[in-house]
Amino acid sequence: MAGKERRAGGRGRPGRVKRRLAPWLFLAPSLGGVTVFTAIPFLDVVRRSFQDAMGRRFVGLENYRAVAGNPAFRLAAGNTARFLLVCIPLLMVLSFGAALLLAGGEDASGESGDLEDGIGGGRDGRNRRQRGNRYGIFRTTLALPMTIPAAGMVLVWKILLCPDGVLNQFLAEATGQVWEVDWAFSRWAFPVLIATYLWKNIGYDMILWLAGLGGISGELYEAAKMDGAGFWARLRYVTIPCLRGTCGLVGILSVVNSFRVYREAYLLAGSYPDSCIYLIPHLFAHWFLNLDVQKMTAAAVMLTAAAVIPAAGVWIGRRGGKE
Amino acid sequence: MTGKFEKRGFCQVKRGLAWILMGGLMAGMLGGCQKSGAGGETSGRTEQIGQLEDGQGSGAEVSQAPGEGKSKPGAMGRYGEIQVLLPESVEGQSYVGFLRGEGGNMELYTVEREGDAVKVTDAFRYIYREGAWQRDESWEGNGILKDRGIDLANVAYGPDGKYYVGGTDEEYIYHLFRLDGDGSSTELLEDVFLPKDGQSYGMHPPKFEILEDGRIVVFDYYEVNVYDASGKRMFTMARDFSGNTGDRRGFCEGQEFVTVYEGEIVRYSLQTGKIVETVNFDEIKDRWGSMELFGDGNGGIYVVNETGLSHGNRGGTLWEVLIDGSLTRLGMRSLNLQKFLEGDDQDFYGVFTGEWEKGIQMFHYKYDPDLAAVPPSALTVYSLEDNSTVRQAASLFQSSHPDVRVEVRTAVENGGAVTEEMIAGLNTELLSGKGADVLILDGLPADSYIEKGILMDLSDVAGELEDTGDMLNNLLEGFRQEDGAVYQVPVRASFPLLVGEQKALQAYSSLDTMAGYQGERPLMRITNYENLLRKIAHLRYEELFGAEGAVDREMLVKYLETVKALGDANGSKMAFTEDEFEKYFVSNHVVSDGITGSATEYDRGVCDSGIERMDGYWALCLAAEVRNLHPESKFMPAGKIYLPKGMAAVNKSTANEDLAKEFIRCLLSYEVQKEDLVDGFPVNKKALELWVETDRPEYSIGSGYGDYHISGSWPDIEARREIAGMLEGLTVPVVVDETMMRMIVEGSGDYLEDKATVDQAADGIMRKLSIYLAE
Repeated sequence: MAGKERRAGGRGRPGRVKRRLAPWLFLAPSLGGVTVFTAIPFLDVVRRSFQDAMGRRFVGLENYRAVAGNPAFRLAAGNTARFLLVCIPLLMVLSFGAALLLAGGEDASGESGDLEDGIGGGRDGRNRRQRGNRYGIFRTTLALPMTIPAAGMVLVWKILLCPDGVLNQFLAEATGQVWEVDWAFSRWAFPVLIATYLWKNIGYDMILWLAGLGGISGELYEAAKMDGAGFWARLRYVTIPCLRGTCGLVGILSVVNSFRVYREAYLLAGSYPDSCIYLIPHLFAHWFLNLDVQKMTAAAVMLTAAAVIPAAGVWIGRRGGKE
Repeated sequence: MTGKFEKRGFCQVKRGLAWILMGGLMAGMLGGCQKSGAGGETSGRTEQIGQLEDGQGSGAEVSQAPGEGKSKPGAMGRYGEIQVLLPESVEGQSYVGFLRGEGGNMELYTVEREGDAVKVTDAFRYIYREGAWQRDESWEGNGILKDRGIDLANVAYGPDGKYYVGGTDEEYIYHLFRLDGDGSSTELLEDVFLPKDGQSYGMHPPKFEILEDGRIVVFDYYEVNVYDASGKRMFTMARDFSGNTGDRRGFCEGQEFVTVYEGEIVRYSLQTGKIVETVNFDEIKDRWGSMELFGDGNGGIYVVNETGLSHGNRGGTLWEVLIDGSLTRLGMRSLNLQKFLEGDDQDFYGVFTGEWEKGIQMFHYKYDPDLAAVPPSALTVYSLEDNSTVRQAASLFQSSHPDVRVEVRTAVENGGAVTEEMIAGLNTELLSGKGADVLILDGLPADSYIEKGILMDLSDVAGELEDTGDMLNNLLEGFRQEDGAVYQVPVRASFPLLVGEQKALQAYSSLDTMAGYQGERPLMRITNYENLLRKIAHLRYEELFGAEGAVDREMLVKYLETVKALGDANGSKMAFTEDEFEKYFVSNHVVSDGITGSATEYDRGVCDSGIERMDGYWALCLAAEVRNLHPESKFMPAGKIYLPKGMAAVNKSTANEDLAKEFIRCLLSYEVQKEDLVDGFPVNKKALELWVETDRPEYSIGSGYGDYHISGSWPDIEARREIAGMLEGLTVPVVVDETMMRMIVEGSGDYLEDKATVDQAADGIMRKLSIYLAE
């Protein structure tokens, strides 16, 4: 017995160690990459934010004061925040709506024929696949903008939006008046940029939502239906609660993608666009051209802090609540 | 049991392999970040440098990554360059030809041309025997040519052992003769060179070759024609024209003709006249100066230009660089390569000239196994765009420092445009404490570099130049900081020269007087609005941008209103149509300072004044002629402004401080500055004096438009002195911030086209300017 215990203990310890080690081993490659390519460089960024441009002299908080008092930084940060506040909710709602329409449409094409029955209305996998194939065209259409290179896409936008472009011609035809609005180089540039961002990213987010929707058990919808739940009730009490994880993922990826909108803004309106779409990446690009590294590093630390501190607060609050 | 054991053992092996692979992967990923020995700098040469195929070379790698300071131990052997002394009588004579003649001897042909190119002059032949040149007094060619009244232009030695000469008569008709060797000559292809119907001039071939079967290959600018002995044209082969009327790129070997067509090296069949092979070689594209092609006798091709001598085998895709142009006179901008010949001992001879094919120099290139394959030290010079004076200085510096390799790195290659990525790339190097030793700051954020402490204080170098009186101090003072430091020095300077009557010239004194000018005609010539905006920004730089280089709204409004008033008066537009190009003699081409020569427009009576950018005395030829035609007119600089070019600075992080400063001294030295490379006036006083003293009677320039025609010759010494005097009085360097200029151009379009008010335009521009200035 003792021998058995010893043997069990002897085999058990390495097993526990292995179990504890296993996740870290799986994480090691990405963790190593993040440490080497992100965390350590960021620590250097923090260090440089307290030095002069060439890293020769310690300047204390001078760089932070300079950045905080810089009107260009305030404008860029304000525009970036405004862009995020407008775009992210819009994108999430629209892509979710598109996903619901497609999910509903797939089922609606079958027996019930309406959107209401579509949510969680799928009866079996085979029918769903057959119907899904018919709706693949819509999925593809919405996802297509992701595959178009930004440079090519912006060229089309320019053709549409320049003073003698298609949009102005259309408006002139429709209203009988002369339209010569330079959509990309005026106050209209902000809505134009939002439209560009939405058009480009709705498909991607929609696919994420569809994946989330596909993961919800049909039995839940069936049970809800048996209880007399309608479309909105099923959406509120089944679909949305089940999509919390997906929502977090879509939100994070949308924010990450929103930083890439600089590419479109730059290609559409150059390095000094209308002040309404002057974003943080514009400012950083110009600072780098002028070797204002001290400002860049200080601003980067400030922006990271602005993003991390609230997130950390929420996380700590949640953990406290759970305990 | 055994099976289980084997299985467990197999699993352990698999696990072990997985660990090894993972370790290897991580090591590879991290190793990928390591800096290779070639250095982190880019734009290296891509040609593979191989062993000479005939065994001559040592196999040493001749290539070196830019910025690599030291060559590897044992990397020895490269072609050395030795000047070959020419007879004293060659000095002052003009080059005609350099070839292998009777007995395989090298022969040099010259003429004693003075001024007018059409005048018949004496021709000379020199023969290279036993390492020395001798004039061939017995050459019959000169007598025959003089008897026939021909001015020698080309010489060839035919496979039939006879010499062929070509040249122009006093009617400027070209003639080709075979010298029969008994004092007589036979004219060939008589009708070929006569003017065709409706043409004033006939063909003047830059080159001809004689084939073994007696056919004659005659080069024209855009094509090469093959004639049989009777003078009948057999076929034509197309080629690219370099823009130089002396373009001789191409050679015949066996039954093939090799030339450049559509940017590629092509091989034509001399049987059919069809292209049989196309060879790509990037180093022939958009290169400065002349280029020569010649064969290796085995179907291979030699290409020689400012990048060096390269060789490609028949059917091969790799080019080996035998001689690096940057280490020899091949890269020197003041020299024109005329001819390159292979010697008897796997060596080469090159003949160069200065302007007007005078100043003949010859160099011998011989492989020296004791020379380091690459000079052990390197000095890197970085500029966004090509700069001839910098190239010239690099070449001279190289020749006086054989142990130093001067690497001139130019961001813009092959006619491209400067991009923000290029500046960002340089900044990355500078941030890491590296980057080039010497920076040419044109187009770079110089003020920011000074503020960040990137640049070295050159006040010691400037002080030396001031003390010796070598430098035009007025051009230097504009770059002296308040604390006395000098971080950048211009290597060339130009300035806007106004021509017109006193009343018109006075109008240039302020924006208000320009806008309010009331004359018989507009103050300035018609042009596109972007050029007009740029021109006024440069001419009134101090008034518009102030000492700080910024612009306030009130001044911006005044500036825009001035441009509008001037544009309304002369009919300027944002863009012209093709019909208007001819009607008004305008274009939509934009130049950075907006100054498009307009002295002739003043002469035509289109406007009350003209403006010329003085970047050499060649630019004065027409303006001086205009002033001669209008005695009531005068010259005047636009205030005290000048346009500096080639702003040279030294990277504070350089490990070669002494060399870098010496290079700056070289840039400003008399030897470099005395050369007129058409990129501005010298900033060296002695060199400027030489320019003033130098007369160029050969030079003339013409301009025509419809019935109007004007031509001007080299300005006389009084005019040259007057311009030099003006240059010595200029003190305000003008470097308009291109970002601000672009904002102004983009924001003023609607106002200039009457689609917006001046306030709307100014507000829009100020919105962007304020962001830019706030950054």
